[in-house]
Amino acid sequence: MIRSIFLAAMLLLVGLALHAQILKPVKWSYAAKRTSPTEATIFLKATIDSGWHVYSQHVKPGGPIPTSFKFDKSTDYDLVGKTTEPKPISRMEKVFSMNVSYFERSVIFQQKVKLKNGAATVTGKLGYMTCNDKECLPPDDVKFSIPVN
Amino acid sequence: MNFKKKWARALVMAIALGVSVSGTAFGNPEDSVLNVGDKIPELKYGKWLKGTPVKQYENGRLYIFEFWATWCGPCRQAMPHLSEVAEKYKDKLTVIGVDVWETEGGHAPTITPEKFVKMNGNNMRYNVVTDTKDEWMGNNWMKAAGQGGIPCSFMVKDGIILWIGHPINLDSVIEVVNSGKYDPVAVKAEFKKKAAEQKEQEATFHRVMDPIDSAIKDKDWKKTFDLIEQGKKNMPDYAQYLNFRKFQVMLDNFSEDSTMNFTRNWQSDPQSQFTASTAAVLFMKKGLQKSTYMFGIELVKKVMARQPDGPMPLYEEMIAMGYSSAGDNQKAVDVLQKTIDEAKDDVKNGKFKGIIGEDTIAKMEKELAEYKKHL
Repeated sequence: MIRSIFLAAMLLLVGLALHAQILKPVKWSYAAKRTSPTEATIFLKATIDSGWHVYSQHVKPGGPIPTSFKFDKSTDYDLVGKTTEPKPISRMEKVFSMNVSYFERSVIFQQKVKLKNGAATVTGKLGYMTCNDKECLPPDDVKFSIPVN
Repeated sequence: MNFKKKWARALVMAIALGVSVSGTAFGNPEDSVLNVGDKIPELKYGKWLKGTPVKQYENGRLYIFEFWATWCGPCRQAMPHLSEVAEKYKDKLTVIGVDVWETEGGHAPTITPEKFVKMNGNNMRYNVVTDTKDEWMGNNWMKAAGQGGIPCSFMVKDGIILWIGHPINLDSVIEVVNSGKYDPVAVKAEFKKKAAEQKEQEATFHRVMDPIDSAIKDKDWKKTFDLIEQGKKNMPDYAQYLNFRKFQVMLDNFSEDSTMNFTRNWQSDPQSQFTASTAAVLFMKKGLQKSTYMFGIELVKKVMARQPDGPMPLYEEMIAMGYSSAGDNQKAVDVLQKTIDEAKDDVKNGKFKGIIGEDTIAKMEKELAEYKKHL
């Protein structure tokens, strides 16, 4: 009984403190940087609220849903290599019986592109899911459109 | 008001609060079409994977619909306990795990619920169903109730939703419901009132916090502190939170001495809050004076004294962290070793269920190994 009140009080406190941020624990933002007249790097950044995780692109089957990127085909650009990510945190998660790799606070994914006509707008969609220690939000799709000038 | 009545009322409040807080996180229960006190929508499922299909709800029996997915770690974590609940109250209650959102966001499922149930049957000692192809349960139960996060439990009796919340709170709710002291109409009213209040609070919070956040972003400290003082005067309810923000800003941008002058002064007030949070922020910052970390440890001890029934091992774990940050890893090891033993006892005795578990102990053991490395 006392425990449940304690818990509710804790939730309330957390709720209050995180109020401004908790409505959407992950926010995506984008940028592009030209690295040569014909090449550019696309940055896809997730800003993650405290306590929440976004997963690596390389989670094995049977675990949380990995983050994924799907770039649209275009006559203006070609992809160079795969989407890269920084070294994730890797934790043995007993409930999945495997090492699960994830990011906290923020992560920037990068994709190199080759520009065929000088300028381009790189479009596509990304998929991700997010969890904290208590709960998960279902996988979500986000469309992006990133101009390279 | 006699004790029992007070007791029940307090729980109703706690439940209403819990629901409204988790509700605000992911949806808007105030505007949602499905609420506590409402009739349940129809149960439609793809496959009844485990157990016996429920054809008719028995009068007076509790039904718990537990929404989960294979990719959801916290859902998996809740399963053993849910099985215990199903067994402990098997005469009064039926648990139905409802698998939802497996292919949400267009991703290909990495493990099917069928396979999952086959592999984890021992942890799921209750009924399990899958959602229909058109996601009837996900849409008409979860989303309709403004619930976006899983695991999420719906408790139903005589066709009426008694409670919606995180399975962590199931035991205490079942106890009250079984005692006959639970009034879903009162909960619903309380819930609606709280939701409205919370919406208002949220607006107020933004009015106060948004200008402060942008002043911090501009590194305009005079403006930041002026706005904080103004906020404390106009919104006394947020005074403690505003002090905590000020402490964080100072710690990152001002000298340790002036930061600690402010912090010691603030925390010496018996009404002060965010005490454990303040200690945690100090412990996580490296390179402070030893006396600062020792002050943090005093703060944690103060919280423990205020919460004699709180989960002590979690506070002791913080104290160990404080000693380690202060450079006294021997003391950190001593404290944490003792704490781990206590936590193991708590897990064995089922104390602080949902707060302290196997994963808590694993985390503590990892920290212990880390402190030992620095001896």
